[in-house]
Amino acid sequence: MILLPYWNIAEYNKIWFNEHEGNAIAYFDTDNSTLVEYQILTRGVLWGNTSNPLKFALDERGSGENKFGVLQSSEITDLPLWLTLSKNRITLDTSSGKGEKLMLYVYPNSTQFREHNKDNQVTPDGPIKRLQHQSLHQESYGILRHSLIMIQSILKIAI
Amino acid sequence: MIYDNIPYSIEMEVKPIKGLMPGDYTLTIGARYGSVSYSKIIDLVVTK
Repeated sequence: MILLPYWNIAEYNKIWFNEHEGNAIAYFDTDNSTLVEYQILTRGVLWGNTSNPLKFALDERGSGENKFGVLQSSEITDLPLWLTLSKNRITLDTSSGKGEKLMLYVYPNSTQFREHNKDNQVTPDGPIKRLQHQSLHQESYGILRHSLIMIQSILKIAI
Repeated sequence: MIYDNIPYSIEMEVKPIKGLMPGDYTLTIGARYGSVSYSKIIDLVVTK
């Protein structure tokens, strides 16, 4: 999938960019190698099933292009979850077939999960638990197949 | 906002498949809830 970034702004170690074909606004945090993407909820068939997001601004002084919309600052600080990993580098040996294990830790934002549960609590069948029970101990050539865990890309950057 | 103090832990194992070319890769691991995706990016080194 090509997300087609088109516009970017760097501020406070975050590189903000649009995902034209991905229909999202995103930032990459250079401090901790984290990518956060905010999907735009509207789409149009005439725009290739996207809302055609192009230029944006980080404050009220900038200009936009093609679409009016706003990402509230509270959405930036109040994420529904965040992740940490036990390693920031792994090595695979093709001659021996040896791989590496790593731990992923998921921290749900209880405030948001409570808002989305009728009984006002994070339930065992909530989205995070389902994710854990159904897929997290599967091993198949190192690829986890559950849709909620996305190994989004393995991009070769050097041969 | 309230983040749970005790996270859900997930163990993953990444293994090379036959024919994988040696080199420097990046591995992106992410989760999505609602309209927000959160991904961590790490270095993946494949040796021969």
